[in-house]
Amino acid sequence: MCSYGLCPVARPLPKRARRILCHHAQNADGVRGAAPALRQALPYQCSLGHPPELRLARHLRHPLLQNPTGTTFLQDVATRLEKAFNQAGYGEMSWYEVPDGFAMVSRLEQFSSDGTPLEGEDRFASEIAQPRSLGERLRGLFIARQGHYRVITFIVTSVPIQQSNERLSRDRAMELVSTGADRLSEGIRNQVFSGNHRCTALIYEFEQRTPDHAAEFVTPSRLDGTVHLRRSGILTALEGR
Amino acid sequence: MSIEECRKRLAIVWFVISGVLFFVLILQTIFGRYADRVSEAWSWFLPTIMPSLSLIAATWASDLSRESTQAEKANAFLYRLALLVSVFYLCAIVLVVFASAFSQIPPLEMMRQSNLFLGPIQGLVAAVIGIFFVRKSEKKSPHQADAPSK
Repeated sequence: MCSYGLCPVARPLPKRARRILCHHAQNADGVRGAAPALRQALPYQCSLGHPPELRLARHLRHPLLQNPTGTTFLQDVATRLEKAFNQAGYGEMSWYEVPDGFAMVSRLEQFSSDGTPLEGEDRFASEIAQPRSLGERLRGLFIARQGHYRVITFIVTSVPIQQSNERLSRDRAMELVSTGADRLSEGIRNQVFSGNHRCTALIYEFEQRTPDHAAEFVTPSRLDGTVHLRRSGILTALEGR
Repeated sequence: MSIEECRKRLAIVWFVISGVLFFVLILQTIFGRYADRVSEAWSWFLPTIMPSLSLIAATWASDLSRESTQAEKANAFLYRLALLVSVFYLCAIVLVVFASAFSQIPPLEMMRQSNLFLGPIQGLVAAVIGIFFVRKSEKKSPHQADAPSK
């Protein structure tokens, strides 16, 4: 149980993280950072943080995120990620605080079967994209149009991430971008990005089998996490700096 | 025009258009257009088509067992009305099936919504076709033997 006796945790937490980030601590003591705790959206269990069952995870190498010279703060990492997201065309993102770090969540986007984002307004549409050509429409008369959606989350923390068996729905994934904060709190920004920190990309993928079906969480995914990051343009933007 | 000829024409309209629709739905079923909800598509389609089709087929079968109706003439107004409402109704069904490829509304949702307007039309179609196929034909007068009735 956590120190408030309200929720189970698997292992002891750093005192600081427990004080700031446990949602029970927030409720009981009124301690709250600028960004909401991720558990509220990605049902984290207490301060340890168990994101929902995830299919794909990829750890980003430190050189992609660290300053070439001098100390790297979490603010620097956040800026680098934000820049990469913007270069990849996401535009909108939201921030959450997690134990000893932060999480950044992208908008729900649609992608084609090879992992490339759809073009134009179809990319961030919540419904399956309409076919453009007459041939595609005629094909759609006999073959179901499918929708592939994903939400990419980066979690930067020194605390090990352990996923829960709770599944994230697409509707809830869509809310992530609107329920987070627009920036990180000063306390998080000024933390040093240490060797213990890891930046983990979590990719939540959903599939809508036909326009009449609801989008469902995909497990297992056909695409590797690296493919998702590469085709989305994020990894290329990070590598290019 | 003889009543047998009129019935034949109406039956051809119904069987040809229904056949095309059947074939399209079979292809859609094979290619998985409705995924695991294929029964919903057929549950919409069959009650939309089958009552009138069954009536036409049953009347035809019954006519085969009777003596020829070649000499009996059809009520021209009733025939044209039956043909008109049949074509209108079948075109509406074709539109629902085919327009789903061009519409934002999901196919099964469109089928559900179409019941709002197809239901009343189907009632009308059933009434007109029922009267036309079941009603006793008018006896031809000797001097109108080959001309359609007015």
